[in-house]
Amino acid sequence: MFGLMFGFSHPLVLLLLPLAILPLVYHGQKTVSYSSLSILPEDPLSDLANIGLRVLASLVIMSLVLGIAGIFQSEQPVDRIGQGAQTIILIDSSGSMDKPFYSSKKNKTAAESVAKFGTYESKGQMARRVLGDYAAQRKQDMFALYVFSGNPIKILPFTEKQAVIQAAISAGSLEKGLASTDLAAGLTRSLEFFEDKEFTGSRILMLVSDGAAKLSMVAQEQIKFLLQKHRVTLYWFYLRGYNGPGLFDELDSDMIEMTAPEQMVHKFFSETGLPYRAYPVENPDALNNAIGEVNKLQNLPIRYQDIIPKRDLSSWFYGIALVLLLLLLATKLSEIQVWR
Amino acid sequence: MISVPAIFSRLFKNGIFSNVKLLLILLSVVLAALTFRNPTLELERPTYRYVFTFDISQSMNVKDVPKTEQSITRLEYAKQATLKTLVEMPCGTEAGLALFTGNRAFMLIKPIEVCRNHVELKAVVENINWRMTWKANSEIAKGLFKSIRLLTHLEADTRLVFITDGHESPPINPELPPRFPGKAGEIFGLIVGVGGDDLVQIPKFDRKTGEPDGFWKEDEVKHTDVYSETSAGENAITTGTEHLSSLKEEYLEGLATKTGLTYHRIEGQSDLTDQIKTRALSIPKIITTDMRWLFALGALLALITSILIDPIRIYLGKS
Repeated sequence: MFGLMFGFSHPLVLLLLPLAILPLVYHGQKTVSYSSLSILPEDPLSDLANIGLRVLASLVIMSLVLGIAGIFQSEQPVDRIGQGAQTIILIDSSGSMDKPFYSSKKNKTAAESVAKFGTYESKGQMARRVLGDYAAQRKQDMFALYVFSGNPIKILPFTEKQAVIQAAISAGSLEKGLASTDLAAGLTRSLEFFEDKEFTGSRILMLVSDGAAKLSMVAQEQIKFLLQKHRVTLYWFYLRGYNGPGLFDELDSDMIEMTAPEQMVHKFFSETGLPYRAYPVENPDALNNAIGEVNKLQNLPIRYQDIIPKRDLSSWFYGIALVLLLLLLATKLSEIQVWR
Repeated sequence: MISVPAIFSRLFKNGIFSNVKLLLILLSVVLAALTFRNPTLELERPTYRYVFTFDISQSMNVKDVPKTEQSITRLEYAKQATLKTLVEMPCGTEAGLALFTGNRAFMLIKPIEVCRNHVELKAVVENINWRMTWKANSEIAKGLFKSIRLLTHLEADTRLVFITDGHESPPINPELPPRFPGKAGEIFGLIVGVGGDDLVQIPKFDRKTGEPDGFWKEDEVKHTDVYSETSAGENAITTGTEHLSSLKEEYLEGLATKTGLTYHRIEGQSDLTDQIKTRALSIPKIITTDMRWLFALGALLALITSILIDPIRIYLGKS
């Protein structure tokens, strides 16, 4: 960047700057009529003092005008070394995320089974809350947000602004989720986020879903290629549903294909040989712990860009004006003394 | 060094009014010093909180706006108007973004401040496109009602800007319009109409690849509502103009009346901002205003007067 950049909140005030010429034109000192100036002896010292005073007054005017114009130092990016990561959060927004968490309680009441949305915390709401907490702890990280249902929806590009990240993560909690789930499109499209981005440290893709459709061979190849190309660590928070078998339950292969496509997806990820971890979570505490674990894992130093916010400089200029004015006042007072 | 009491004693000895110039400089010093007490003024100023909801259904891909120049799609036009509005709204305004298609709205981002977060808001708006769709239908009335409900979950005084062409697909039965479950006037805001007056073809896209795939044909869309279709049986209407689209102003005006919103059609570039920045939709907020400038300006005037006072006197004396 260009080092120091200045701006003005009210640039039109700068039109007053020419006023600084006034003291240079009008001396503002008492004149004495004298019949013949040429016979007065030259006095280089007082000439110098005279010029000094005029310049002083001119500088005061400039400082005051700059202050009134609201001079500020523009926000500037600076490179810093810190601990953090570039994280893409990819949230499943399908209808099934509206259901409450897996409950081990065998005999659920009818009310618990068909509770009205909004009367309990759904898996989606829960996940968004925990992810929001995670993001809030990682102020040096950049986050991007993607949701997927039938079609992937790119919501937020990388940003480090917490207010924005939180507003985007929590937005999906307000209403029910959307339709179906297309995991492949969600993964590939969100991984494309890293395209042309500078590699500044660890890169994470946090997939939050409660199930998965089958990934075609083509999709598998593409996902593997993108993970490798962008050097991304994949964390999968698998929110187990009411009757879901989980990722590790042993089922025979026919059963897996029929009832648990998520096991196939897990198998694929595990066999890519790329950094990957799955966290099957069955309750809110487990999700908290899983995310806490990622928090610990992802503490490698990275280079990241920080923004020094815009800084108001007008007080500096008011200060300069004040000091110079005091100097001017002191000189004027001493002038009087000399004249007496 | 001259001590402060010395200054005063000297001033008084000389008679305080004997040296106006000196007094002016002293006044300038005092005023400049007062800026360091950080004078502020508490003023009530209007601020705004909006959620912009974009119709991303297929008819929004029709290129028929603006009328005069090179036409772009309705959605693109809506996005541009919104981007312009985001720049033109005063800092402190909060904007959120949502999508509408099918029969519901989906919130992308809750309202955030528009100046500090301009880069991000701009990126989210620019990303919006029809491919984010989750359902092919475009049930405007239901979507609008759901958008209103969505806003009731947000902070009070959040206003809705629902941008659409009003094209219901499939058509609704005029006898059985969807019932508005909310209270009229519960949420204030605008229904913003975008689109041309003439019926034009709706572009079709391949759902998988997103490539253009001609236009919707007459026999590919429903021309009547499900209820009429079923009751008519074999005599159901299969022809009509539902494969063509125009801005349905009257319909949207009716929806506005029903929900307590205001209907407005975007026409000019700053048009949307003007509609949104109205007193009726504003949220009064006490804002602390920095008043240092006033004191600094006083200091400036005092100093300049001290410089000009002699030339002016001489000028006046001569004339």
